[in-house]
Amino acid sequence: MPVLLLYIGLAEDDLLLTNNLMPDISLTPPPSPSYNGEKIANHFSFALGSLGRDVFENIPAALYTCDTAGRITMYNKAAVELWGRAPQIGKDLWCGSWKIFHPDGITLMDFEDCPMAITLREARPVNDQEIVIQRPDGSFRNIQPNPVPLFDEEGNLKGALNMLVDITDRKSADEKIAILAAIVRSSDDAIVSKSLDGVVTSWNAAAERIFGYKAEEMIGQLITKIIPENRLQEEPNLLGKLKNGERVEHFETQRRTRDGRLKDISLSVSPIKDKSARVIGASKIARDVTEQKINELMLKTISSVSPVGLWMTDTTGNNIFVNDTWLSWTGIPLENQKGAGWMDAVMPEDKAAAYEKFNMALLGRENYSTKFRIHKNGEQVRWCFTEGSPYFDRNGEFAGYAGSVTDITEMKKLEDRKDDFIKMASHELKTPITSIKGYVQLLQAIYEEMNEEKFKNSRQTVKTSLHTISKQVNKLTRLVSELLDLSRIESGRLDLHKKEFDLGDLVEETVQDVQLTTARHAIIVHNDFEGMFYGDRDRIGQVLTNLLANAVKYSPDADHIEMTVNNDGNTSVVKIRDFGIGIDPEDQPRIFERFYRVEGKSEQTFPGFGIGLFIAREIVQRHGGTISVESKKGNGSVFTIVFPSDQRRQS
Amino acid sequence: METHNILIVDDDLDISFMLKMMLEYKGYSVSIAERVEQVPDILRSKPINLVIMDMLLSGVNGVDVCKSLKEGKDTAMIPIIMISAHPFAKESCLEAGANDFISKPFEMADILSKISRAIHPSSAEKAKNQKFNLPG
Repeated sequence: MPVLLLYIGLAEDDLLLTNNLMPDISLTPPPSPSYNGEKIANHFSFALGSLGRDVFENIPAALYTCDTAGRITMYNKAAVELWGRAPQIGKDLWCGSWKIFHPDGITLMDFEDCPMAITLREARPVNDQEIVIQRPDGSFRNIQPNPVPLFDEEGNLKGALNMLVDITDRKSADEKIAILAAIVRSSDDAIVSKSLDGVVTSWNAAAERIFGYKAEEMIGQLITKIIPENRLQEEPNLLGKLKNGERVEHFETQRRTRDGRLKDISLSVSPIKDKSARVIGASKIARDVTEQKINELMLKTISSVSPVGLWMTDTTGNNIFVNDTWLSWTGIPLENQKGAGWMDAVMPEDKAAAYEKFNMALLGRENYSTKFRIHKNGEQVRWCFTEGSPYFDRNGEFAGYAGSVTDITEMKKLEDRKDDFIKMASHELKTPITSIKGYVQLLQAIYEEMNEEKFKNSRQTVKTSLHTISKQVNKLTRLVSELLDLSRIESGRLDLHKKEFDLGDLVEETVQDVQLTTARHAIIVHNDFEGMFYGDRDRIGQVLTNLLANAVKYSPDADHIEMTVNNDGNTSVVKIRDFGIGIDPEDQPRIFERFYRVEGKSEQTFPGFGIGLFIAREIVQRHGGTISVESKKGNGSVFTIVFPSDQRRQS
Repeated sequence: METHNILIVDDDLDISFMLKMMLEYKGYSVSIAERVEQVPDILRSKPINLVIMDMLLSGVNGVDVCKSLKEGKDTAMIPIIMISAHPFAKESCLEAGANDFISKPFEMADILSKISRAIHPSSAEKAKNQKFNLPG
């Protein structure tokens, strides 16, 4: 029986195949006599027989033999395919390749340094040397050669057999795996794999950083180690989905870190399948969203508690965002605010202007601002001022407009009241001026035509004129100083000059002055004040004069006014009661505001600026006191001022 | 010489007295009404040739009073001059039928010439006034 003696370091599968085909091969090198190459080739042919020859030729592994001089004596089809050429028998040395390179694929390798040459030189197998070959068509293959020496029966080296294993594909697979491994290592996201029973099989650096456990602490452990107790049910749910081959993406949850903290993470889980598509485990990518969550929360909080409305549009000016503040102002649900929907909140008469202004700004990418009124369920609720600017994406491309809406209702009201005030003030100032101017002209007329006769007749006219002029000049002076006080209060420059004085005396003086202005009313005073009062005498006098003058002014049909002044250990109290037109309950808090004037029956108006009580309240408060009113429409009013007794401690 | 009676309606007595003295000095006879309610009595008591009325009266709008006088059968022919410190009042006063308007503070010369013109209208103005006051 012919015996082929082979000593080949083959891959297991290949060896298996070889053994199956050639069960008689002995792997022990026998002693061998000397043969030349051709003889070996002949011997091979002879020894293989026709069947063996067929097998050699068609085996799907590249095989070739050399004699001891390195000449190629035999090769098979697979070898020709691998080399991309057919070597010349007995002429090509050591290798049938066109060119061979070191494993770097760049440095040429001398043929006499190739593994086959080494095997022949040193009579030993070489299986640890990868080479790269180039084919005549220019393509490269990565090769793992496995040359083994062949011996004759006497144990003499007779040649060598080489099997070339094409490892090009494995090489590129190795590279891909290396790249993947690098990605997994350097990922910011935790990448973890686990078996279907929840045992961790890999744990990358980001997982170590995010969860605080080292890979060696986690691999082989149950993944439930990092799942908070109240979320343990998540795991079977996830596994259930995985077993069905489903992916889970961006599942927001929490995991517990090594030091016990809870981390907000976003989890994506994919099944790992084997070649037969059977699910054998899971890969998990966990993103630490704690910071993202904080940022989100911050933005959300700022946006929803902001006292101003916030909005954003896309590049075409369509609304893409409004905040909770705006939603609550308008009562229009978010989904109806998108696009041009927010416009529904704008009062119909303001829509066109608001729209026009925005479109003009949008065209020129300019800043935008406008005022409009909005309604809620058809009822006008607010005056709004909106400002917006274009915003740009990371690449500097225009991305839309973002802006704010401020509620300027109060400002508008004050503006309107200020307008009214200026109209009213000019009217109020004109009245005494008219009077003064008229009397002066009257005096001029008398003076110009004066003769003894006329002068005597005009005495009374001149006297009345001068008296009225003097009175009206005083009125003008008072109005102008009220204006000055208002401006001082508004700029915080109302200076007080406090010292001790007798409040009782001041009350008597003030009452006398006011009594002179009215013949109709008797001012009745109950003065029980004892001791001294500390404050600005002139300013307190101004307050008392103002309240008494109001009492006269607003009770045109009454015949008296009551005033009481008293003090105890804690407080000094001044009350002034009139029996006039009274004040509606809803107006009562507002009479101390600026520019507010009470209207009488049938819109009867009373002269004055409507700032007297505002100034009075300011002065009283600056003395640590309070001023209040009790009144009924048509039943007169009581104004009460309460000062702390020693208000030095208050000021 | 015929004495013309002028009625001044104003709740600011300082101004009413000033006008009264001035107009009396110029030879007119002057009555004063502090309140609108007094006006009908005065109109009944003597023939009034001219009414000078402030636009803002306590509780009543002078413009409404002017209108009702101009609509009244017996009072329509009485010329009315309205006075106001309100800068934009002129139009509504003239719409209500007032013959003229004087803004406060006023020039005495101005008011005197307007009074004179209202009491002695030129023939053209007379025709206009008559036409204006035709009933219906």
